[in-house]
Amino acid sequence: MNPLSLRGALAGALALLLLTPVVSGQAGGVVVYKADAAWLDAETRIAPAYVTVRDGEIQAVSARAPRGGRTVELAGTLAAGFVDAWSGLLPGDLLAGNGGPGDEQVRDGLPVDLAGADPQLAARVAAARAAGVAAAYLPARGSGLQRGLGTTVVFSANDLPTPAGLEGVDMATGSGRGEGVAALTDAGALTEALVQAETYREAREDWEEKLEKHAKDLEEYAKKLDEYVAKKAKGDKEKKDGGGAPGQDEGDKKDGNGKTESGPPKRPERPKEPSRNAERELLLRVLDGELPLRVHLGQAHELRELIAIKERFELDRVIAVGAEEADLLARELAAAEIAVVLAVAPQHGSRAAAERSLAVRYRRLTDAGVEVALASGGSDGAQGLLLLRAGELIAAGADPAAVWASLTEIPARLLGLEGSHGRIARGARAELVLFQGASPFDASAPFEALPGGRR
Amino acid sequence: MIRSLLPFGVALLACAASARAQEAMILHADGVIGPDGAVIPDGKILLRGDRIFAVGADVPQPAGVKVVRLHGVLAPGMIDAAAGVAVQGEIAERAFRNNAGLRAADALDLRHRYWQAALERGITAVHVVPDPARALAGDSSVVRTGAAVDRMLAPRARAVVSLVASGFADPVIGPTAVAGALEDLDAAIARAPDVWRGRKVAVYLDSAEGARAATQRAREQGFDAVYLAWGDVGGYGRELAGALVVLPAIHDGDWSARLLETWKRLHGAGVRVAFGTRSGRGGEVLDGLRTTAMAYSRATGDPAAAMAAVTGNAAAIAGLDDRGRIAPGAVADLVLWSGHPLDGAARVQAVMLAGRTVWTAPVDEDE
Repeated sequence: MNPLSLRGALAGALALLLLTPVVSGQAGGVVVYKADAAWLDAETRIAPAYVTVRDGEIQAVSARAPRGGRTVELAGTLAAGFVDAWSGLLPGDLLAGNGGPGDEQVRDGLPVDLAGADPQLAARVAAARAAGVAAAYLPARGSGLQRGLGTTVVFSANDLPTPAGLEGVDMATGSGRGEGVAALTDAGALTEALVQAETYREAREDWEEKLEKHAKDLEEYAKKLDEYVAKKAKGDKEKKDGGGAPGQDEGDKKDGNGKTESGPPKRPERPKEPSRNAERELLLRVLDGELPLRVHLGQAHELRELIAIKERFELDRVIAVGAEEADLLARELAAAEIAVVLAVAPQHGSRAAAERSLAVRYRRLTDAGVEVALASGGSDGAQGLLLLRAGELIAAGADPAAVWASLTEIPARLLGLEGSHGRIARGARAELVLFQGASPFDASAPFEALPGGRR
Repeated sequence: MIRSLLPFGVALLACAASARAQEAMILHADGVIGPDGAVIPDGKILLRGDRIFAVGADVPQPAGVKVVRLHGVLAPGMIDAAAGVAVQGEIAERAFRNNAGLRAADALDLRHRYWQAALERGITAVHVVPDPARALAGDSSVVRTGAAVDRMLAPRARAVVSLVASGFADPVIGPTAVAGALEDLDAAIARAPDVWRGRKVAVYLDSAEGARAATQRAREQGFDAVYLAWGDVGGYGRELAGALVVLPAIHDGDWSARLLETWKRLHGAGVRVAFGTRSGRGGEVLDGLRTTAMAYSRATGDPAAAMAAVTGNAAAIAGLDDRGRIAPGAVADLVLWSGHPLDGAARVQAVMLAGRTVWTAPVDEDE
């Protein structure tokens, strides 16, 4: 073929590829969303905005039109979807259970990502996505002090949760476990649990040391056994050669009572392994900085204990969940760098809610510099309240950028999704929302979610 | 024509001076919320004295009329459709089986700081309603907010009837059930049919039984009836299609996904909703009126209905035919917002009552 005609054919094919219309959000297709503006994060705006999406991932963000791809014009402003740092989008059996063991792993209880695998859960996830939620944390829901290993999830094309980001060890103490006796008898229980985990680690380490010594002892034993066998064989040979009785040598003489003076070396006993404890092993992963510790609690004295725990055990990532009296210790929490997840849906038995509104508590925390994530709080359907209550906070005087960060960037960071969620950026998932009006908090104008970059 | 471009506070103060002189003037704002609840961009309002003469993108401009340019959105003042504010204890009288003679107005402390706080949040009138402690609970009253002395707009706005069994159930005084309350109501109507015919009535409800009985009597007796929803309105709201119904504004602990669904269904059923704070528990409750309207707008996708819920519908609940809307003939109770009132970031910039500017927001020194 003529090289020129080959080049022409290739150019034609390329042009055809670029001009081929693609269905919005269709796998493999490149879609350029052209919007009036975009909130890239809580502080950064561009106008106009071109967001190039391929296979549900943002390929490029620009204020100038990119080349290629099918352009979809959107009236309004694009922004990242919400990250719900405390959600109840769990399968029915996990929701209905009375609480599993303290090492229960939510990840194991999620349905297989197949259409129809869990229609009820899919419907709830779809409703949450329609409310703008792009990712969530599903906590373990045991009834004890230690609840298990919760997990961060994103949502599949089948509207099912699939693990992503960080897991976390969920614990609940005192008021976080409900009213009544548990709320009064848990004082110091968190610390005790971590101390027990350390003791468990020491016992395991002690055993491992013994095991190492045991291995050396075994080597020693093997040597001695070889020596013994060699010596015995030599003795046997000498006796055989010298006419002595087989099996008897100088080292194996019997005393006057007929006992053997020297026998084979004694095999060292293997040290007994302390029984394994999966709950404590999870806590060890917290102590080692592998997993964040998320403690559901409410009252100020429990928060004081949490602050002391973070300092004493030098924990990297501690999150106070619920924490309805956190505003009373706002400065201490900020100094300790403990993030707080506040529920937008009122929690059963909450005292603080009756005394100080969410707006007051949020303002006190953010004024003190505490990282606050707003979350649905595990109530069914409460994802629909996220935007409404955020608007309420702003109407009460909160900074819109701070509130937006509490819905997006901050929870994304807490859940280990900072690269993929909470911002519009190259490489992030195209989990977007679109609003008209001055901001997403302008309820006079439409707001819609574009889950997976689809309308 | 004289034209000026002034900061909102100064501009409205100038406007007030003109209004006092019964002069006409045109307020030209970035947006005006028109009679249908939609925003008129670059809207104008022609005022004459305390009344609105015309509204629209273009209004008649008589010679010599001053045009005041305002930055922000002009909206009707919000009206609290049912409140129990600034009173000592409850607005109820427990000594009697019925309290038809009780007036909410008599229980009010008009010097309470609540009234000014309400004004500064864009609330220009409050419908104060007796508690549902008796079947014939008394008369509601309508009060203008702010600090002026003469603020009573209607000392006897509506006769308030309670069909809420849990409200009045008293084994000694009685009645103890909806049927008993209806007997009291029917007896009162029979004693003075002329008094009740065509009367403005507000009925507390918490059941489908009560809703059916109330709407039936309203039809039979020719009441101008509105309804005050008590309890779970999701259970009986469908009985009130087409009616004016006061729902409680959301307080901090009341948020739920079910509530939003209930609102959607009421809106879909054609119930005309207004919101009332029901309580005088300070600023957060007052803030709740607007944030409830914001949430209603999101839940129903109908911002005009949400605005009506805190303006026009609330005015109708209070029996104020000439307030709650920016329309020709209406009293010029206006609020200048920095943005749309349903935008959480919008702030009240100034408030005008009956064509007079009564409050302007303090100027931020940073600006």
